[in-house]
Amino acid sequence: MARSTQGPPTTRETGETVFATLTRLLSGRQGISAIGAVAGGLALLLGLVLLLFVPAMRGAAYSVVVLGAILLLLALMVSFSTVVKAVTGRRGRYGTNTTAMVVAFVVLGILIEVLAFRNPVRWDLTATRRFSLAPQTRDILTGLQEPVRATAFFVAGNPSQDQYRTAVEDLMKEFGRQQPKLFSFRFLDPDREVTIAKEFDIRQYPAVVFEGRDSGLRHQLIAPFFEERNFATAMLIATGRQQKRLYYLTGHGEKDLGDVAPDSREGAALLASGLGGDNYDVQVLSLAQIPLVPEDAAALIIAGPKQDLEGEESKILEQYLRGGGRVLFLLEPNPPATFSNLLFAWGIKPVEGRVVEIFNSVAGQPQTPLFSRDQYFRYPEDPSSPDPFHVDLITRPLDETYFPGTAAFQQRLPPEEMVKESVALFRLVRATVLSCISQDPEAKTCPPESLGRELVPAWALQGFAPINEKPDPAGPRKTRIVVFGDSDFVSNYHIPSKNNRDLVLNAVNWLTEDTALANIRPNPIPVRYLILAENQKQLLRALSWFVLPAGVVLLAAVAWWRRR
Amino acid sequence: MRNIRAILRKELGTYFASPMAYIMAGVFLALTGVFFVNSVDQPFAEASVRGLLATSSFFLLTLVSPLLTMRLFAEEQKLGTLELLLTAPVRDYEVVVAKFLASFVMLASMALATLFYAALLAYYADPDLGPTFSAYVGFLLYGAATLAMGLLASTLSSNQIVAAVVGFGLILVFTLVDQVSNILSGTVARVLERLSLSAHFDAFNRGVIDTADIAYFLILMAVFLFLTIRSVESRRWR
Repeated sequence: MARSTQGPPTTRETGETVFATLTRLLSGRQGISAIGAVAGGLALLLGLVLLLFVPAMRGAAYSVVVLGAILLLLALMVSFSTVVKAVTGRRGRYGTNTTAMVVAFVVLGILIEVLAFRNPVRWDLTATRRFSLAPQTRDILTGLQEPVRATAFFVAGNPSQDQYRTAVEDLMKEFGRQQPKLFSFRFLDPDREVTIAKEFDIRQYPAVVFEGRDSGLRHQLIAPFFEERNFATAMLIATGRQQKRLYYLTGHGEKDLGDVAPDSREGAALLASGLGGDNYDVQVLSLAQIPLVPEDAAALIIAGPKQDLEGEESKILEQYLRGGGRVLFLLEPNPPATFSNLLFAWGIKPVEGRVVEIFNSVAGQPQTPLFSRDQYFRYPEDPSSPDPFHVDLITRPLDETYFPGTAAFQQRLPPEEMVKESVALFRLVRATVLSCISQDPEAKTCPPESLGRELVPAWALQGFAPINEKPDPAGPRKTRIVVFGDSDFVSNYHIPSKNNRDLVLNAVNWLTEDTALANIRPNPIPVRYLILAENQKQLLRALSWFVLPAGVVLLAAVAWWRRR
Repeated sequence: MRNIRAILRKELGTYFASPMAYIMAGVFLALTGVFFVNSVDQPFAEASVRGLLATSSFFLLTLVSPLLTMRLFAEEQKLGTLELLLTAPVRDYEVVVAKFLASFVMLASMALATLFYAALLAYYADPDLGPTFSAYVGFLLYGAATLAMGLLASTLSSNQIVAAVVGFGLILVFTLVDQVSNILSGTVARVLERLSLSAHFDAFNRGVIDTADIAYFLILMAVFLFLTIRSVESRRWR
């Protein structure tokens, strides 16, 4: 009340209209100054908005900003004394002081945040460290030479796609975090963004397309190839890394690359997809039609031959190996002799029969040995010595793998009889001591006297010449061979299980010397699904919706009662 | 410290003696219950609190924090008790820190009550405990930052509704600023994204604790508490 009698008269008290008040305020020098200040402020704001959101109007935006600045300057000049009084007056001084302190505090905060952002320390608390990128992936990201954008095509609300969506989004966020400047991503619904989906040639989804923004190169991944190594490869492809060509031998009863049935034990279409995901171009090779291994072959894959090589075919492959060829042998117990002979020349021979594993096998199937981390050989054997071969990269990043019905191999000559300069042999994985070799295809156990022998179902070798031949110093590149005693583990049915896919892809990566990809360890995503029966769901709903709120409302009643 | 303790005790007493605070907590928990069931009641649902805390941080902290803080200074201004408090032998920062801590204890109590859902998950499945821990750490930091914003808003008006609306607006700006960055590019987009509360919380919710994210929440909280102290102090010379 006191204020209303002592303060300036209000509009109602003087009978002045709002319009009249405005006219009075805006007349004279002060009024012009106020109009100029408001117009200048608005112009500055408009200019900044244009500058930020409409890059096409950048020229006009600068003009508007300059105009705003001039208007503000004019307003300041016209009302200079008023502004000076406002700043140097008692309130002005306190206000300026406070503003300076706030600005200093905010700047300090920004500096600390920038420092923390540039020197981050991270703790990945997930059980499997699934958000820790492999050093190779980080190198690829930090070494990007052009912007890369990933476009993920997922249909919203589709449960079968949702199971991939979170994993894809998490991985992309990690990529974006590692390379915030040059990597970006977006999610689109292909049913809604039909034009973009067509432009990206999306025929099957969920799919993720990596795109080099300068080069225009694109690489598409489809489910289930949404792992870190697939993304890393896709980025390499989108930024222009050349594809290597693999040849897949046919004509001897090998696994069928064209068989796409997911439960097929004779189909190898998923192997081809996995190789495609690692940036390989896979071509079929029939030596009966083309009697040579083409020169552009980065490696040759022989998966599950049931018949012998015919006529000149053996010689062609022998020559290919002598000339620095790279071959992945995926054989079966008691393989055709002509294939065994190819290996024999390089110092490996199959043990007759099949491995029976009674300690560590896939449940109830002793003829399907399971291989855990401690069953992979470690190279170099002396960790302090250099490792020129990098064989370790085939198995070191892996967890469990299994071979349904496998042969074992052994060294043809004892080590002391080998010419070291010609061939270096590496055992990759062994069965446990509670295993044996059996001729019986139905065997489920081992006689005690057959236990204890080391059985090695997978080998790798690098050499310049077949064993005990003197290598030609001016000869071609070094030969590399990887041999597995089983081919079923790469079939459509088995390849997605455990780390089977990674094992075979790592072997191909080693043969073609793409070791960076092999070293990107698959981060297993543990299945932690919540699966409830209907009555459990009802209980969960009841407990979640009512128990806690009801308890708290009860507390409210108690509080009310006590206050009363 | 003694002054802070005394004011903190008084504020906590006000919170916990008031039926309204319990009713607000009840509504909070009812909504988190709905969010929790929605996040796990679907095919291939992951046994984690990730969905619950992502939704709760976005919808609930934006609403609950201003409601918790709106009273703290606005009511004192309206009743005229703020002058008494400011002329008492306590420093401005002690008043601000104590009121902030009181609201934080209230919010933390509500958040910790939702551990009940984590316990349900642990009973029925095998949730990964690392991400559960990091998600709650992030949720509390997120909450602390939003409470500091709400506290500043409370000093700006003697009307609690106005204070709540201003606080809500402030928090909303910092929550959605990364959406603006989606339509921009370059440095501005990256800076705006770095300012976003939800973007920084996301890593915690996935199971990753990053010192840059911790620093962000602590700095944001410190800046808004500093602004609140200056705002309270300005009453002496305005």
